[in-house]
Amino acid sequence: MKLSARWQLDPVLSTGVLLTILAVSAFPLLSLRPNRMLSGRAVYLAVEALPWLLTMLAIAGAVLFLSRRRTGSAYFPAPVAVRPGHAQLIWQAGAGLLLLYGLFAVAGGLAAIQVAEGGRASLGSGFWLALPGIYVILHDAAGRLGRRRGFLVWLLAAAGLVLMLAGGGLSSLSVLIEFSNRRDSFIASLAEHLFLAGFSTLLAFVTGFVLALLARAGTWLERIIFAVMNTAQTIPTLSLLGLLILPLSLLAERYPALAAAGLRGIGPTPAIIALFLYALLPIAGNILAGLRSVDASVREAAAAMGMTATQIFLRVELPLALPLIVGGVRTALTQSIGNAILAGLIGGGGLGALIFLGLAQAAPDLVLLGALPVAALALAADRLLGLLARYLGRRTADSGVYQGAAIA
Amino acid sequence: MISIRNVTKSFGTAKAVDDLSLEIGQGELCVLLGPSGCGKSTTLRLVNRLLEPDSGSVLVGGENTSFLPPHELRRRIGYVIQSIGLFPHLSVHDNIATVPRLLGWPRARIGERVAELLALVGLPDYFAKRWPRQLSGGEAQRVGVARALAADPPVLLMDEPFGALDPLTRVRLQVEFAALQKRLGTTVLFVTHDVGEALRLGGTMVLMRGGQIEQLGRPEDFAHQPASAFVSEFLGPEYGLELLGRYPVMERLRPLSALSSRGAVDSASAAQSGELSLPRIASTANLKEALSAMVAGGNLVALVCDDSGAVLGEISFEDAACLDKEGEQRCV
Amino acid sequence: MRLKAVAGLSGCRWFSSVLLAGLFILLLYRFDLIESALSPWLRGRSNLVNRASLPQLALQHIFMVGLSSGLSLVLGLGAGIAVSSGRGRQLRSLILDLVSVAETLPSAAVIALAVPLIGYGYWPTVLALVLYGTLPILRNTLIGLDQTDPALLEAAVGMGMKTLQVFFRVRLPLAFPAIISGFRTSLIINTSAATLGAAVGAGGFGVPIVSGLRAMDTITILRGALPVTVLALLLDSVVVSLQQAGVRRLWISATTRT
Repeated sequence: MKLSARWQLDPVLSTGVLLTILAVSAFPLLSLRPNRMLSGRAVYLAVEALPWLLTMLAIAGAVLFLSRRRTGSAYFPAPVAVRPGHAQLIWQAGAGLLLLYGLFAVAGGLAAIQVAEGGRASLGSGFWLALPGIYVILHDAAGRLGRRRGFLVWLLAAAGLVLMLAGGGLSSLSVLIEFSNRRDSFIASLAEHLFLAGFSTLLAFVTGFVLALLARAGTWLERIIFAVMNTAQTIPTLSLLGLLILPLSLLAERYPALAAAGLRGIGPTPAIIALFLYALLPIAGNILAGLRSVDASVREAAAAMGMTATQIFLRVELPLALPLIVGGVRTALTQSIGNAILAGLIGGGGLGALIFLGLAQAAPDLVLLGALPVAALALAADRLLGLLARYLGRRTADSGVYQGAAIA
Repeated sequence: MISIRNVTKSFGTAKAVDDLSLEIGQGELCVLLGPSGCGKSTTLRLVNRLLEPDSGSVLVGGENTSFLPPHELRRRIGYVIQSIGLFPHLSVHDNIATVPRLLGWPRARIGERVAELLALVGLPDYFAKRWPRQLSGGEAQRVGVARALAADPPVLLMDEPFGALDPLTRVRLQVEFAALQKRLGTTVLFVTHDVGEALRLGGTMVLMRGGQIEQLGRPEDFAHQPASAFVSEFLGPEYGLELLGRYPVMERLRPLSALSSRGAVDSASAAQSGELSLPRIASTANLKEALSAMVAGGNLVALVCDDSGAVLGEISFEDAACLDKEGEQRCV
Repeated sequence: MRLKAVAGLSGCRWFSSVLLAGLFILLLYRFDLIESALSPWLRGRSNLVNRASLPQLALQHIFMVGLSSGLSLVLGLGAGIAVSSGRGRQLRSLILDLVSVAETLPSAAVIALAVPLIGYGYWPTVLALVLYGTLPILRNTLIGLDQTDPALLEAAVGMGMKTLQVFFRVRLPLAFPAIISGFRTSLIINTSAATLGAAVGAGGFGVPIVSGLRAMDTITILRGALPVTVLALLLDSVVVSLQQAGVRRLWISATTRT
């Protein structure tokens, strides 16, 4: 029998490291163009900044080396790979952060050199591919380090990038040049975008609450409400906007008071109406599911203890439904942030206006300037509301990290 | 304390409770017993108006319940069900404090009351900070009982509260609850389909069938004068033996006879000397357990011992097996 | 008697699909009927900026959605199966996490981002649709394959099934409902996102909508919006009917020799 110890690499972490290595060494980090319209030349790290590449590869290799774990022999494999030590994880997180900062720094630095020579430098496929690789390294470390330290890792990552942005280290990148050229209109578009998504979700929340309570009262009402909302969800977003134009402009012509109030076929109003219609289903559906998820015995106990119907709703049903309700708002808001892009097509403003302007002018940097913040906003809304839902459900959820912590 | 007068309740065409009348006195523990679908749970829910009777009236503490707002009535009546219904978003403390808060008690008084109740149902005080999800079935049901007793209600309704627990926990909670009820003097209406549970709780037994009372009385009455073939069938052929479980051996204890003194030596030396050793039972055992020990030990006499193992006396098969109609010893 | 009842039921199941298909074809070939019906409200709202042939747009659109959804299904199912079995399992939680992050990215942003990253036109859009449409299928395959009751797997092994038999006769069929609902999500997203593809030069029903919106030409907008709405409802209804018809039953009868 063979009893020698073996080393084994963690599959998740090695995937992240290999992706990072592949991205920075084999894909172009930047794309250089003499001006905004012409397509450009690829910049490889290996060609333009070999020392940087070697440093990053060394860090990535160190992460891989640190992650090796002792397992049993071939005949007695450990059922779970021996868990990495605390120090090991902190080193891994640190290396991941270094890779992240390094990637941004070298991209910013190389761009600055090129811009000084009169070109435009945009981020290339190597940059975009390295991001998920580094994400995996950081996520693996943050996930194993526990809630508080894991959060600190992400905070450090975000803080470093913000510092680099604020310090001007990245300002030679074409997206940021585009940003500084259009600072005011970008900020206005961002505000419009947030208003479109936020206001339509708020409207949907209020309406969805009423609809959910109505649906709870009767089954046929429930069927109709959900059939309509399901259908609305199936209609392509752009097409729904188009379908709204005719009835809205007719209404505005017939009733000038409505037109004065802002109801028109184009502009932000049809966009808000369309976003509102899309947001109804997740919100009303989750409110209903949340209220229905309250155990019958809990409701009966509440009634038997002498709570009035209002007290049962406010003190028992609503608090218990809250995690699911927040989950519905999460889906709706994330979706609205994305779909609000389309408002740009009908003069409703928002970051979509920048995107469509960029598409019409074949200016990829302008498209990026619009689309990247939308993606970031959607991710942020999704993650933050997800955390909130989990926090609210920590006492009642059947499973979760908190269970162990609460008992200990 | 509770008067149910000619109450009828139908669901669709099926009569769940059919012209039922029942009086339960102050401090009494009344067990509603019967097969599923006999209307016992419906009767219980008519008392706190979770259901409204089609006809007839229910009086609690002399007041007609239909003249009281349901929520005010319910705040005076404790209610415990099999699935307990603890609020999962509230701590044990807040669960127990529900009714006192509804009644607007001051905070300090609620805190004292919660501590008192936890002690009463046999839970350590640090359980107040726990969450329902962290409790075992038995612990959760203890909290359920504490919550029902929180505002010191004169009446307690219980619907198979121990039905979902494992057998050992169930018996322990039944015995503890019976003692608690005697101490507090709360009027209790208790629903179960388990004859053994009804006997362990004691009190008056009401056997229901088809929405009506089939028989009402002390457990012994059911054995000696079953009202119908249904009663005997429901209670089962072993009911007589089950009934013996209600009587402690200490009531029938006799001093050691000369014969059994010889058998009262410790079993090791008995085995050496080839003498017969008598079965031993604890002083807390009941007559059913005494009979079981005799059967297992192959003898008609058993020795009763205290905790330290010292022999207190003996009990014979005749003593253990005989009950008269008053439940007193007769065969001498 | 029983056969008749079953036939009646399944007829009912496909009824809405047939109705929508008829409506779709009517819209493609006789859009003038809609135009004349709406003419009282259209005065001054139409200058017909885009007269592209509707059947041709339909072909472009359906081909774009069909190709990307088909490739998504192959990719998502293949990757899902690979990650659910053998050594691939070690990557499962990583893939699920990455999928959940990627799914959060809005489809409109993905279509827009495809332009600076992969380029402008038909094929880049199809590529973006394939990648984006794979996500819900992959996620649902992973979740569906993992939901099998361990007792069932033990029973299957206990009856003497081999690993592959357990997979194809127990785990995969039990995961079908989840996989199909993932496919449904993917199809709806792709139909909607393909409409948006017109803004990046990919053709399809989005073309009249986008040019109509630019020119504020209502009838041109409707030429794109009405057929694509009916198409989305039709595809959804077909998948729902397939779901109800029991793809699992079809699969079992096709793979089991009796």
